[in-house]
Amino acid sequence: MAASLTFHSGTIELRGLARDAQGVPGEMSWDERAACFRAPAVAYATVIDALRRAAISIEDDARRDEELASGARVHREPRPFQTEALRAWRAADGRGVVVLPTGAGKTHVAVLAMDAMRRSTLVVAPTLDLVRQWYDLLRATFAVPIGVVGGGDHDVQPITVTTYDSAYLHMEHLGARFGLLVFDECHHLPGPTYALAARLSLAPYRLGLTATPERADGREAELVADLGPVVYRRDIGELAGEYLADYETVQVDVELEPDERTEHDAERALYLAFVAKNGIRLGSPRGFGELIMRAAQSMEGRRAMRAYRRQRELAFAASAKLAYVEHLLERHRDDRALLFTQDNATAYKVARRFLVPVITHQTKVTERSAILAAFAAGHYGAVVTSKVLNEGVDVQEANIAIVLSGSGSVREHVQRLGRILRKRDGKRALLYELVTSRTAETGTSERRREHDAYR
Amino acid sequence: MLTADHVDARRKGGELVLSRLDARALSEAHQLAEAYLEAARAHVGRTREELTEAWKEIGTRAKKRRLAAGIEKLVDDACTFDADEELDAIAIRRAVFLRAAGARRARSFDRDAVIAHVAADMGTTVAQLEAAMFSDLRGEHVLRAAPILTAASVVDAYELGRAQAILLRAVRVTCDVRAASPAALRSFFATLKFHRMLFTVARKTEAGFTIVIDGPFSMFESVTKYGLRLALVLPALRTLGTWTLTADVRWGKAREPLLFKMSSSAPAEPAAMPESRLSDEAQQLLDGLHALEERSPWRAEVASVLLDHPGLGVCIPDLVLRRHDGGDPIYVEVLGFWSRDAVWKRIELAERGLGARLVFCASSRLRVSAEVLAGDTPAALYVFKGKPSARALLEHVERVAATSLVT
Repeated sequence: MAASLTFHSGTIELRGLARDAQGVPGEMSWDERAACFRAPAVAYATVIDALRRAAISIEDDARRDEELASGARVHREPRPFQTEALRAWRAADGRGVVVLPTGAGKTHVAVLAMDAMRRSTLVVAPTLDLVRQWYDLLRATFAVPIGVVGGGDHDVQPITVTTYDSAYLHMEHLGARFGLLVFDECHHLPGPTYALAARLSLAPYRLGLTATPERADGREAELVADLGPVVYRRDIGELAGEYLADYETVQVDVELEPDERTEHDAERALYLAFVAKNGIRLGSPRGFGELIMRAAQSMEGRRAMRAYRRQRELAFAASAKLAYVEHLLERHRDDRALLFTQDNATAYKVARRFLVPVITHQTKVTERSAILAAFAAGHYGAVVTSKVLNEGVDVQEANIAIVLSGSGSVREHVQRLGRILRKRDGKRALLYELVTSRTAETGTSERRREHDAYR
Repeated sequence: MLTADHVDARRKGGELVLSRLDARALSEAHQLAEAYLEAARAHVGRTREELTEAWKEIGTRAKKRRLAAGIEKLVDDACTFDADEELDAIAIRRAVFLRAAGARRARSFDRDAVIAHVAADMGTTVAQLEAAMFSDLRGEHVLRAAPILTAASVVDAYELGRAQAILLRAVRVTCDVRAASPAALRSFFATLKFHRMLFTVARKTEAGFTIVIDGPFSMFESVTKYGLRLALVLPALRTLGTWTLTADVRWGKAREPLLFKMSSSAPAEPAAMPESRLSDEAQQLLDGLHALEERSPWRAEVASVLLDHPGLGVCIPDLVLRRHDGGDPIYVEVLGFWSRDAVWKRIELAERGLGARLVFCASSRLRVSAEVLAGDTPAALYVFKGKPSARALLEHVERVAATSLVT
């Protein structure tokens, strides 16, 4: 009797071979509990190849994906770089990451891949907004039912769209049903929980899409095992003008008011004294973690932590910054502006003061959709947000970005720029970055601008 | 529920040991619990943000930060907040922002004028409008009721919560149970099933069982996917007579593999046994069977037995059906969306003989066929698609009732 391969709760089981059988792929381990060989489902393609090479005949009952009844019913002429990206991905056996700037049409590369492979496909996106955008696009493009898992829906179809949160929770059940996985904004994938969305699935074909695979923690290397290597890459500078809107970045330095400066410097001195006293090297990779740990151990430490937070708040929402925002809102009253902040508190402060709609993670989906629709239609000239609009949401009309505050992350800054680069006739995008002088923001700004797009 | 951040634990060899709350720490825990509860009672009618600020002050002054954060979390979990819904915050924002955007385009933006205009339109005052504009935000939620808890009960919950927080990081848990009453055991197994745990049960002695709670993927990677469910099982375990628990946990940022052990001597056992709950599918079947009782000779109720095959395993039926005119009972176990392995194990048990008639109910998602238990075996496999049907179950029950038990 031939050995059999089945899918079980995010793993594949090989039964019918003795524990000491020769030629069992190295990815498989003997599982005493079930008396079979077992491997994480992600190893499926490798295992199948190895079994073939070892001439071990098996009945493959693991895969439950299906061929799509039809391919795309709408065919849009791909841009040359999209065709190149698809070719590179196929040459890598349908596994790998495509890196393209925001606005360049990563989604279309995925549609081309789905049309080429014609296997049941799970698209995983980081937010419900993006799930809805994918759902609308796929429903218009393919003549097969499109399912959604997440946000209260659980409808699994040959093409299904889901969030990272739902994907990792449900993949142990869904992991055999899709032949192709598409991870949008795949830099989210590395990590102990989200990565399960890739590891509990046996899909032989995997496509990651991102504008910026690099992560502050360096875990982008994990993408190779979970999705495949970067197979194609184009940066903003290569596509600006022809395929992306022309753009300009402007850095504006502002000063704290005298009373803000006094408080800022006092709070900063307090927390830096604690840092020095405890020999914490903030510049080292674990420096900040050490500060949090040490601060938690004493009242003095907790006061230092409060001082740290206060001096940041003062820099983030300096009076001069908010005054300059007023000026920019007036100056660009006929444009479509996105304002970005590092924290929710500043976003709400801006919303209250300038009566600009605000979107944070606390905003309900229905309100968020209504705000974005009104912004696209021109009813609102500006929207303020903390981090939730950093990626993915498409508003072609947006042409001004105002970064009031942010982290030192290059990826975040590039994503924010990407929000205003979607090409439109005659469009010229403008990104303002407001930086409070002689605060920690100066260094943060320098770090996040270390990208070709800002040179 | 507490999380790993709230836990003060240390490594001792390959073991993770909870720091013991000595008399001083217990005293501080009681003082903190009283302080957090008192602050909550004093803030009824005020916003979450105000309460959080007050709590922050308590936390800053606490000697043990983790202890304070844990107590705060438990008190917070027990508070009742809700939004002030007199005015619709979303509608207010929409009106305000649209008017403001229009004014800006018309080069006549004046914040106060926009607010005053919208307030007038909505028949409210400027102050009320300003207050209501973001009243749906979490920080603006109003504390409606403070917890009806004593400081002592918060501290008890903290002690249990620390162990549960460690189990959140568990990849496998082994429980040895001795001298538990059948009812308590039954309740414990029902809890495991309700939380859809993957577990195996083996009888060790007359009244002793070893239960291994696990997930297949855990042999490759330290996933904590099952942790929450494991943590929820702990209160049920504590109701059993004598027990030990050994958990394989992955602790800290490095996910260091460590063992965590507990036993029935600590922490203290609560007096009450948690109510036994049926899984959704079993409850649906029971409701359906009750609805059919007038037209059917079968009466259904929640089962209270364990069917044991020494050396092979234990079957824990959910329901028992009896004909109103007598005869042997028919047991029903709902396997729902469990693993296929669970189904095969039940089939093996049934084939070896459990001394009772059984119907196993399995979802079609498990890709098993009813035919595997056809013929004279005093057991049947009912494969259901979607939700199980009481009527279809009764057909299997009738067939099994006609078979003879081999003893």
